[in-house]
Amino acid sequence: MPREFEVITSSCVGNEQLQKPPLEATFVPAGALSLHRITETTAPPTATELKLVRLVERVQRDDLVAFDELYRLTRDDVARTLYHLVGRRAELEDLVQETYLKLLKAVPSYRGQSRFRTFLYGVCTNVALMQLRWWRRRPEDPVDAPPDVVADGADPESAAQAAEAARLVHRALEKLSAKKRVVFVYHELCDMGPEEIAEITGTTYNTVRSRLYSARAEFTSAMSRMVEGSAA
Amino acid sequence: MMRHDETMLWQYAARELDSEDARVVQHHLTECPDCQERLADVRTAQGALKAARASMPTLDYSEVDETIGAVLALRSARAHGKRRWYVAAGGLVAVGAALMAFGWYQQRAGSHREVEPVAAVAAAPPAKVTTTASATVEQANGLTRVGAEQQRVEPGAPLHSGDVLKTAAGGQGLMRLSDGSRLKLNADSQLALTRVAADEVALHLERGTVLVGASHARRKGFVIHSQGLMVHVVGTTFSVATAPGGIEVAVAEGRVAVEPPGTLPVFVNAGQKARFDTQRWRMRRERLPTRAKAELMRVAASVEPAPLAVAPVPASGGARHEPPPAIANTAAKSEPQARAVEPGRTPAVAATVPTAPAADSRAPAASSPESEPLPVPLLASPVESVQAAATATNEPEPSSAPEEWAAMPAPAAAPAALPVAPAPNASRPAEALPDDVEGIFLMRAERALTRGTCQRYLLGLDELAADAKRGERAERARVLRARCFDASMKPNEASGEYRKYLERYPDGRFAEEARQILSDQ
Repeated sequence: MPREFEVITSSCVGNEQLQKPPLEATFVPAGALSLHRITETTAPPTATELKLVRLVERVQRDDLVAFDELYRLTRDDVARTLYHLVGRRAELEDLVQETYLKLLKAVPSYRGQSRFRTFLYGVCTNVALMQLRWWRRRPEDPVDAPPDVVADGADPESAAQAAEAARLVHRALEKLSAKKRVVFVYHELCDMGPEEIAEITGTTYNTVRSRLYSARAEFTSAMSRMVEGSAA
Repeated sequence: MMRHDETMLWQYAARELDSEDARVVQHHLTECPDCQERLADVRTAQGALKAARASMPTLDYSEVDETIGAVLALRSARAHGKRRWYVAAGGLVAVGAALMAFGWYQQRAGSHREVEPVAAVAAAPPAKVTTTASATVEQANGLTRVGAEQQRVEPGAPLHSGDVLKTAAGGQGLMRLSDGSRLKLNADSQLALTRVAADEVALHLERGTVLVGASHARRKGFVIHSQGLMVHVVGTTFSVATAPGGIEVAVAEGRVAVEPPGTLPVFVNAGQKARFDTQRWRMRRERLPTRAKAELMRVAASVEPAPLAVAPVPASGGARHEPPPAIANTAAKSEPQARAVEPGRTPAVAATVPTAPAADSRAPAASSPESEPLPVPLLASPVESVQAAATATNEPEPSSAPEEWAAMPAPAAAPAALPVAPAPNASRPAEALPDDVEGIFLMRAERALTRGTCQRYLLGLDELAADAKRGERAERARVLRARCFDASMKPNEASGEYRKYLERYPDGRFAEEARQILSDQ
């Protein structure tokens, strides 16, 4: 892992004389992480890793407006990720909130040892897993309401189809173990690469791959059973 | 090798294979109808994924924005005040906070009042980090707002969540919050209005003394932070003071929940005082000496216009001064009677008065603040109107009250019994806001449960659960404890709690849940 972040932390905010080498492709461009945006977002289209890291530094210096900025920039990604990880609409806002509160608490411990996005998604994973665990023990919880159809001005019908597809996908995901589910969602729905997923989950590339392959097989089976069931 | 083929199938369908491998798979497919079928399944799955990617429900972030904003404001105030409890070794420079609930203090301020009538605190759409103007200054003398430049604050000025106010030596400030509470900031003090909303108040006393008249409006909470210590208020009579090496919380009436930083909340009951060692945050409970209690009551009595006791003021506290300062608004009790009145609780007759103002109207304006206790005429009509207010929103203020409390946005919470929500979704809701410390505690614990952060409530829940006199509260507390253990992946402890529950409440509301869980084990 490149060590350029060490230098960053020693520079002042706003100080342009960063001695670090220019960041190469070590940070994940936002495009790779964001999904199709049919919702209006307030975040600028590209929140680069550098910008995020700088904001984190400011937060570490008690500049809490910077945290608010960080929140604005990443909120939609986080919400989308959580949505797919837990597979339910219910309490999603709570989960988003929890993620950021946890993040705020954890900011002091971020020292640039990994990409900030990795750090952030690590928190998301944590929050999602806890929620899944909770729900697992409470199978009688009310069934999730049908997701609101996002009003895509152009094509409400495809939005409805997307919503239905998501519903099926999420139900199928419930059949997977939490670990496989996380890997699968990150790879197949959030377009993350296995290396990053390994970092986020604190495992290895090979572990991620093997979980992914296994998850794919299980997911396929689960989907086909559901589809058959509804066709029958 | 089926699994291996399976892997390749997916990759093939997703076009992840290079041409050579793809050819191999293609060839295999021509000979293997099973794989063809499987490929079809894979394609279906991938199609669904692709469509699902585009789906995202619309979320309402307003509450999230507010909460995060409030947390940031608190942190910011703390950072600004440069007071971190773990740094405040010994030199607790006058971070004394004497908090007393005196309910109808505003009557006193009558003659000094220069404030314009309070307009309805219209809840403007929550702004990004702060909430709407939620407080006004009534009186100011040497009061400034801490910020980039120190701005002098004048009477009539609106205040917002996030504002930090400071008084000079010899200065003071008198404020009213949108929930009806009043604050008086003494000289040489600094107070952050971390969050001030009609249904929730959080203050941070960074230095000095603040007097608080906590209204009886229904709130999610009213908490005062000082050096990391949190004191939860619901209109009780108590004080917080710094003592050498620690903070002391003394309770004359009612019960206060105190949360030292990083440790579990505890209750301090009437007739007790607790000393919190700020170095190591250890707590020691002692009996509140009669003299100290009398003094507390006397001070409280001197600033509040005596009790609007419709019902007998509970005398479980012992020595009282006359008139007994029943902070508890003993006015009309509407339905939530069962909830608000608990055996053994001092301000037992705490009625849920949504609008403190209504009560104000009863006491005639006094001439000067803190001068003498006002005998409060027990007027029947205001009481009734208070009762009506329990279901209505804005109390049409009949009063000649000097303060125009009129358009207080009283939460029109229908006085329903607190829903004991077996589902973890208790946080959103239609449930009535509890008006006492335990109720609020339980509500928070319930919320924490849905977020998986309930551990810190375990001790307090145990206390509640063990106290048989608490009735429904104890029952709920026991179940919450069980669920919390469950959520924390401690099935043995959870079972233990459920068993305890069944022992005491074999036909209780949650008996079935308990039996089901126990039989699952």
